Amino acid sequence: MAINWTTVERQIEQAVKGVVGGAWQNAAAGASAQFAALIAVGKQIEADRDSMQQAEYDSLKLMQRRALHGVLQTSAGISLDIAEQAAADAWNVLVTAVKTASPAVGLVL
Amino acid sequence: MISLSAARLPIYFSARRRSRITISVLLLVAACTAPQYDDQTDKLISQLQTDVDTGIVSLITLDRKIRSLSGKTDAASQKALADARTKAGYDANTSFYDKVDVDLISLQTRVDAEPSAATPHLDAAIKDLRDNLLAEEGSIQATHQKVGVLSEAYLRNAKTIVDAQIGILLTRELGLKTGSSGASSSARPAE
Repeated sequence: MAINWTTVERQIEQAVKGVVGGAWQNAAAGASAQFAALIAVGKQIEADRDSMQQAEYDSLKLMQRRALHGVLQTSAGISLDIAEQAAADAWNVLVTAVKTASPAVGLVL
Repeated sequence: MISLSAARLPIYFSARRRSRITISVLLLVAACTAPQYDDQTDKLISQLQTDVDTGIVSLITLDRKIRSLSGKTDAASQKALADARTKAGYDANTSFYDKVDVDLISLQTRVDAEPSAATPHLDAAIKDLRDNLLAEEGSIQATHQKVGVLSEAYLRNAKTIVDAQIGILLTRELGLKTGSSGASSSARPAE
């Protein structure tokens, strides 16, 4: 089943908005750039899941979460806890989409 | 204009206390200063992006070469494969990480040299970038050390993430140059 990445991006945005609340307005511009990066990573995982090692996947997960919570903190002054929660939720939306489309992914997502 | 000379503060303050008051006021003024475009910061961000992308693209090329040579049994291919593996390995690329480290230090120093209201947020953004690039658990450097040869799939993704981080810094700096609203989008505290 092919993943509708436009829908996933919208779901990610909703998930992050749900956590950061009113601070979203200040975070939107920077966060959107990271959402695009997140979607690009998701597409790559979907297409090349067998060509990455687990350590590489774990690194991307950490990097993406750091980048997103970083931009939420720096652009909108969102606290570390909230920013980390929003980044984790965004990643979970992505992972759910990949797992649903390809249940037999070789990596531990 | 307000004079901040320590010597002009009331005499009942000790010299040491007057110095402390002067420094505090200067720091407060710096913290309230609106961020200004800085050509040098702009160049340092661009330099960082060039160095990071050059290093990653070179590793991608080596991984492609390794994959194209894998499975070939002739002596020349075997030698070329061994050579490519060595060049793609962590030990052969420590100078790349050193260069990125120097770029980040230069950028951090430049940002801190002209403090403004945006400095704490820029410092945090540079730290996030450093954590993703160097040494920290899950960084490109730490992963390279762990797996030996990084795959093209990983490198492309890591490049996408890091480029987006650098892009946000660059957009902010260019926004200051043009006076557009983008200047405030990536380094503004919540109001």
